[in-house]
Amino acid sequence: MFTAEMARQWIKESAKKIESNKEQLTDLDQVLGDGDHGLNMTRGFKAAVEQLNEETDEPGKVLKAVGTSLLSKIGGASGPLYGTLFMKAGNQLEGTEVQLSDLSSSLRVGVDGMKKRGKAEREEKTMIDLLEPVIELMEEKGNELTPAHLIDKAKEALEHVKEYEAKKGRAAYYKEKSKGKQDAGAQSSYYLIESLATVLDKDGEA
Amino acid sequence: MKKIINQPDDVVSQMLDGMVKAHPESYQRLEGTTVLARKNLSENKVGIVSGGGSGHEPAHAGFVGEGMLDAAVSGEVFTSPTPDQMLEAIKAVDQGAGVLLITKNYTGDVMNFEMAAEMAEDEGITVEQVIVNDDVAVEDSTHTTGRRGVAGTIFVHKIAGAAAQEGKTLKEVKALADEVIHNVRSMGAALHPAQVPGSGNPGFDIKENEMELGIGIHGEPGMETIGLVSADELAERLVEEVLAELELKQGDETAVIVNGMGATPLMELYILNNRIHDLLKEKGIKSELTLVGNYMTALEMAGASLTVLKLTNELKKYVTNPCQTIAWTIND
Repeated sequence: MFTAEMARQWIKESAKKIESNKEQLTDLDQVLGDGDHGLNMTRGFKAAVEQLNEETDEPGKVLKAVGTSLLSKIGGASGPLYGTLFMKAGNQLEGTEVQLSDLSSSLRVGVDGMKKRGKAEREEKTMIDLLEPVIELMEEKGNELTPAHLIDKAKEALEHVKEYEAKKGRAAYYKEKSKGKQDAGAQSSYYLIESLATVLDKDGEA
Repeated sequence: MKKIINQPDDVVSQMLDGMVKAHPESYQRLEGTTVLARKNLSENKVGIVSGGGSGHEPAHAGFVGEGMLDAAVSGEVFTSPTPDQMLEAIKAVDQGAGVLLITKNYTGDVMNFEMAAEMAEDEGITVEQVIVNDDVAVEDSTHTTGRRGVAGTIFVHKIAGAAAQEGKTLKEVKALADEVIHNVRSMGAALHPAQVPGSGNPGFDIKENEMELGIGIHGEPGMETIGLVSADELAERLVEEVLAELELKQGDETAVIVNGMGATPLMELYILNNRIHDLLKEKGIKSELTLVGNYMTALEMAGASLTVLKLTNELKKYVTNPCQTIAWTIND
């Protein structure tokens, strides 16, 4: 089961992780981008936590509102991308009885939305390289998904991203020089997945 | 780094309030937003909205006024504004004739403006978008996000604004803006990087005896790092790179911006223009209009960029006719 309370915990945990790694995200972004990813993500997730609807028992409603909040607070490229992920995924999830397999298929819709919005494909050194392999694994495992599955896959994906040549965003101006350096967006996506794993772990049944 | 600021989080908001207090007759800040809009909108006119990250002053809000922009949307420093803010700007300037969004080709700007356009269409407002990509320093290909939009954006503001003021339709204004984008190219060089308020580090490293050629307007990297050259040599390099992409021939007319990046004195910009002007003349190219000053800056980045717009008769008319803004005024 994935409940509204778990969705709220996911966002709170993500906000905590992003805030405590703000400088790392900014440093990564300073190498390949314009050095504001840590600041923007912290601002966005802080706002997302502040607006969390504690009343609803529908996880979809929680995620959709998070998406809207991220969209209006992050700015840059990350705002529309993470905003799209949560808005689309939230729209997709209906009702209160949400299974892990439903969460996977809603996140799939969210990531497809991100790809369309950012005109990005796999292996272009973006958030997609972290999120899509993880979601594929979620789809494969269905309701058998464990927190360890998520963490292992996310770590593996993060290592791969490093080796790709950047083809999107400001990092693309570095071409081959971008190889071997981590993408700030992939790193922040890693924290989202790590946070999701923490929440599933606490729930005990996943 | 020392700066005249209060809290880093407040810089954009306090700057906007300061601008309104300096020019209360022409500006209003839309409540609860980072949008500066014209106080007196012309009726039935196509609305012109531009925007982007802050830190490029006077772009973008400095070009709000009669004959140019109807509203400008400011993001955080060097960060694209968000779609909800842009939507407020679009709604505020829509007079029923539709709205043109002028976007610079940076991934975040393009995505946020696209979403804003979709939201506005949902509310029944007709919106068109043009994407400025005048920077010759980074190549256009399917593998990158393409050339960046830099100071050439000022000419897009001017010409689209003038055409809208004259009563042209949204379609016509967009077509003209696209023609400007097709005919305008820029390139810049930096001596010192910018530093975002609140961040501990400068945007890039550069040695005392070096300059960065082909920079953008945020501190992203240039095309190459070269040894420090004289103003005349820099003028030659910039003219060569910019003209290479413009297909100008003898007798062609142009409009030119010698733009300061924020920390370069006007003295140096005029010295640069002195040689740029002669170089164009030697090639038989007429400069119909020359702007020298800070138009599209990058905080305290030291350096300059050259923008050349190839003029047609129509573009010449719109680039030289009157406008009334804080940063650029042409009187009747």
